[in-house]
Amino acid sequence: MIANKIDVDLAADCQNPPTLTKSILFAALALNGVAILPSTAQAEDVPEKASISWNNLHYRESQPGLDRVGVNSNSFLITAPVAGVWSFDATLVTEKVSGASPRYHTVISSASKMSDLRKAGDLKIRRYFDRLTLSAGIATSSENDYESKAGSLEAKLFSDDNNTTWNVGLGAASDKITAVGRNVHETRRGKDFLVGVSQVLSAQDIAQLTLTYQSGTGYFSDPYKSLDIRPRERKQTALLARHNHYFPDADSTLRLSYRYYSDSFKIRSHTLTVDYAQTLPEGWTLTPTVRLYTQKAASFYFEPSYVFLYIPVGYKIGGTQFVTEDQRLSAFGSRSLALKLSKKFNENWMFDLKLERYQQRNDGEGKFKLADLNASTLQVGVSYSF
Amino acid sequence: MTSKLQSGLGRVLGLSLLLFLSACGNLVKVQPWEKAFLAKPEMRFGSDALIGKNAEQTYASKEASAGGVSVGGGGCGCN
Repeated sequence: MIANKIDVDLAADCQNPPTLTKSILFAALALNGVAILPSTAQAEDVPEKASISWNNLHYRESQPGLDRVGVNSNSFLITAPVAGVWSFDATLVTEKVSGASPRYHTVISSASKMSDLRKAGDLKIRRYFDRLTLSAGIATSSENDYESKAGSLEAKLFSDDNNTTWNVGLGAASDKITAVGRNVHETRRGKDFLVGVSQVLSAQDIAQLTLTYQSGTGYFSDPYKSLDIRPRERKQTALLARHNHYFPDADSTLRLSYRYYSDSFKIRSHTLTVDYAQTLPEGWTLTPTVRLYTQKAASFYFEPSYVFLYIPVGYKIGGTQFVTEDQRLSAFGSRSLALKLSKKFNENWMFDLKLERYQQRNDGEGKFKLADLNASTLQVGVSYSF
Repeated sequence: MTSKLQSGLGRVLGLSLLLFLSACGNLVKVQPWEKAFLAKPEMRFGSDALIGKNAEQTYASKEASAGGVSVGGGGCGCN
């Protein structure tokens, strides 16, 4: 990954010293706040400053005629360099979730009301070498009915010219699942792998291709659904391609992202995200974003057609077949429109505000069509570097 | 709508990968003193930090897909 600095290879420069023009350019960039660090040591530079960031998220979703889940969360991120060759990132999140969650498909009942408090934290430590950055991370999350612990190891290898970065990662997670008011005591374990490459394409273009694979065993069902029996194994693959392009004349950045996802539940999805960051005077930046998403249903998803109560047509009571009536595993498309406004007050303070409107439309027709899901998110954030 | 969207996005995928591969074939060796634009925060992948992380968490809780960015993140009961 390209560091937030210009990397000048002094060894190479001894053989090909910068011209006067280049020297002037370096000075100009330094005046503009772009740090220039002679790098005999590291391809990825240790952060120059420590920073503390706070973010508040307010989320509310609904379906026609009915409010559903609301979320209010606060998160903190601390990033700091240590001893010139180390850095760490630490995140803390507290999240209050409340509202009504469907019992099956989009059916809400009096038993659908829920309230939960989630606390999560993660810590990542990085060690910077000449052409290599190693990182190790741990993460934990706990709620009334869910606990998760995870760890990761990653390595980034940089080419001599810093135009290519290879990335590999390993992760593991262990979860405990219970259910309020129900006799559920389950576990789930997962391992995940990542390989990726970032490539500088030109002075204004950089692209990245990342492949992740996750294999999990254990409990994947939703204990709060009226009828939900899922396989006890899930294998997930995601391929992510990203491309960022800078327009010098407009001082703006176009960011394209595409992800293809498939898993052993037979879910297939495509995600396309486009955002455009436009720098404005006085330290303002405006970034509109469009995100399009589509997925196929899980192989064991049953349409909303019932024999009796929530028992779907085609399901054999007492059998061993898998079944879900979870809207999230149905076939649907979604569209998200967002607008982020950022203000950089000075070298230390930064403010962000992001509004997002999310709409999910089910693929069914007639009696098989589920209620639309709409959601709004407001995020506010402040960051201080020192 | 979903099947049409899938077909459309599939075409976008093919075109995007074609553009990406063709761009790789015309790689220019970018010198350190030419990387000023690449060093801008907006040009970094994952530069949104908390905002981006929160958004991905929200999507993962409402959709059946996740992944592609990192490894070893803690889960949640939201999905």
